[in-house]
Amino acid sequence: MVEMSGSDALIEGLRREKVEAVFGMPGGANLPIYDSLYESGIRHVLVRHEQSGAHMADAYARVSRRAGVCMATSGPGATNLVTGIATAYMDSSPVIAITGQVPKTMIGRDAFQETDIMGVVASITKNSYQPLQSSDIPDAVKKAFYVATSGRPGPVVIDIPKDVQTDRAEMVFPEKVEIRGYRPHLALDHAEVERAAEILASAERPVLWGGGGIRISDASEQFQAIAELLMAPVVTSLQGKGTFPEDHPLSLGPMGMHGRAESNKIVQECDALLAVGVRFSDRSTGTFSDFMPNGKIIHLDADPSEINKNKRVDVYVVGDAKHMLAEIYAALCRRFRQREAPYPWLDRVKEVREQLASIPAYVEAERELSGPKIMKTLREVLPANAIMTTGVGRHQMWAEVHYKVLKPRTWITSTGLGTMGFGLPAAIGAKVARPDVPVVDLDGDGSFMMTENALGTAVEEQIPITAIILNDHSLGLVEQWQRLFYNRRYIGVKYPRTPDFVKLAQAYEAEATHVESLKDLSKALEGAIRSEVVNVIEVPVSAEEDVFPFMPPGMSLKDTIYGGGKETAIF
Amino acid sequence: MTQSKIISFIVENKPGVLFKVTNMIRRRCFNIDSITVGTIDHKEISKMTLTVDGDESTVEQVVKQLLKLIDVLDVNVWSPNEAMSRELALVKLSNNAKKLLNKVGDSIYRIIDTSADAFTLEVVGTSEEIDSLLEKFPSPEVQEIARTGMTAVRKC
Repeated sequence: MVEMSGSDALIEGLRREKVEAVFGMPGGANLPIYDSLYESGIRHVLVRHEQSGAHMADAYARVSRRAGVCMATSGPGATNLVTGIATAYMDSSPVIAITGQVPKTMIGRDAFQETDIMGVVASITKNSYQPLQSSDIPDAVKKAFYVATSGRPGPVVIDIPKDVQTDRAEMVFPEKVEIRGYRPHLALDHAEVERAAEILASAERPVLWGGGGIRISDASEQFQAIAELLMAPVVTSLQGKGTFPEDHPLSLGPMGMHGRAESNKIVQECDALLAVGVRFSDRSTGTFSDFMPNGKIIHLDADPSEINKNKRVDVYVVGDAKHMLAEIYAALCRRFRQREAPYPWLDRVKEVREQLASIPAYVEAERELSGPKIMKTLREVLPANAIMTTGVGRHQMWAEVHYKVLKPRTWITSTGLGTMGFGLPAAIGAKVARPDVPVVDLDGDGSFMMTENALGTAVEEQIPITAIILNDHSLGLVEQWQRLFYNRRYIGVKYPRTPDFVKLAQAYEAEATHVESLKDLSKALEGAIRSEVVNVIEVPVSAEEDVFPFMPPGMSLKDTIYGGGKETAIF
Repeated sequence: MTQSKIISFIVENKPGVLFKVTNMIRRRCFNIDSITVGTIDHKEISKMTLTVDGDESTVEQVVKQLLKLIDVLDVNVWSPNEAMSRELALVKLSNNAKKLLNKVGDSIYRIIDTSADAFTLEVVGTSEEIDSLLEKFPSPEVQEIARTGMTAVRKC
């Protein structure tokens, strides 16, 4: 036991959790915490807006396999975190958000900068803690990290009243925690593992569907082993993109609203789908009732509440993806010999690939700076270990379809919440976690402008990321919907006067380039990822260039539009 | 197929737990008919009972979402015939209603308060029994009603 203040106990708790960096901003209600941070040796990254701090912590976590920590003061500081916390919740990212709160005696009196952040975040956190005695802080920190990082990860808020930060107490730092209502590590149901293996072994047309859960559990190797044993084609969710190497012969790419046409097609024809670490999002499956009406579905997930939530499945196992996949692989090996290609299902896959190779969405546009060509150029320039973060919009969907992700944890994107403004701060958080690899934010003008002031953070903190802005002077994906579904009645989507992004970046003392050709883009990006400074590359694109394939909202995979003005499926 | 289920669950007796439970029910759009809470076991934990009408998937999701809450320790689901359930009602009636008392079975109520113009019944029974008792009294005679909502234990 050692006597110290609550805020010192908080920072000691963070050190014990091996926290290297926190992303945040001080204010009235968390000054004691900042004072304790002063000599802690923990790196503090000062943000320009707390939302960015939460996104930085989120991306840091997704890249590093560890919790990411952000901090804010009470009231507006805390509420500014909310979009970032909700983003982390939807994509199952272990973010610890530490907020200052008004002193205990002032809670409930509508004090200056008081917000009931515990109430606000209740439905977007795994849990939240508000220690009301300073001696409760070590336990709250230990529990917060345990809950955030175990099972299905997710954000946890620790809200600390200012007087609890300053009160001194004898502190006991627990080595482990037990939470009786929280049991993230359940024993695997071996009977269900056998049933899953039986279905896969007897399937004639198996497909594997990989989601974010594979990244979280680092289960790519086990997932790939099953795919190769069965010789089964692999699709992913957008969050799961890159958990299976997209240059692998069995990879079909993401499935869903802006998935690969061959993924959307082949999944409809399969007789057994092994869904791993996915949550059957409407953006992946389309209408739930039309999704896989015939084939058998096996669902593996860490979260029991995901089973049968959106879609009834035939077999499920709850647990850690890596463990479950290893068990299923072993069970498969007992009853199945390595399948050799070609076999009829792979012939069919090949046939579908060939039929779809020339759909309008895949045919190269004449325009030099078209979305698909830009994506291919980025892939050519960036090494396999480069991390790409994105905003939300057409640039993200073009990357979904055309940018091949080769390694897990190199594709960091907001899929569940679809948070515009995620890309730039996420790149900063990713670079703090992995300073040794190039980190590129692929962004659109609309998304970029939401959190562009994070450029200041990147420059000041010397975090050399590269932001590529595809500038169409429009909220391009929304414009596409207005074009296709609202008879071109464009309203609220045009930005005729976006700032000169080169000048804007230069004002923040970043390097900046405007390119007009793919060759210049390659050259600028090559230079940027070799440089030790923050770079911005502006690429003009056309707002008229729609993203296809496209499964319209409220429809099914079979309704996927392939582009070229023909707004019905080819077959 | 819609069915009525009793969900009986144990929670930590801590501030904010009732809020977390009801907030989850609101956020997931579950329709519940009744929810009750009371501490048990030396005030360490509380038992909550809710009744829900829904199809199998809905009930399954209510249970899973409850279990997902870290302050929920255990969840049981019972059909009405698997549990003993009771509810308490306090019913204040004008004295004119006294003559109607012989129409209701006297096993489930007792008079706990009287005055010159009114009296109060304490009624304990299943929710249906209480509904049926209340139907016996025309609304002008009913001055005030308070009901606790249902609580239940599994049948022996």
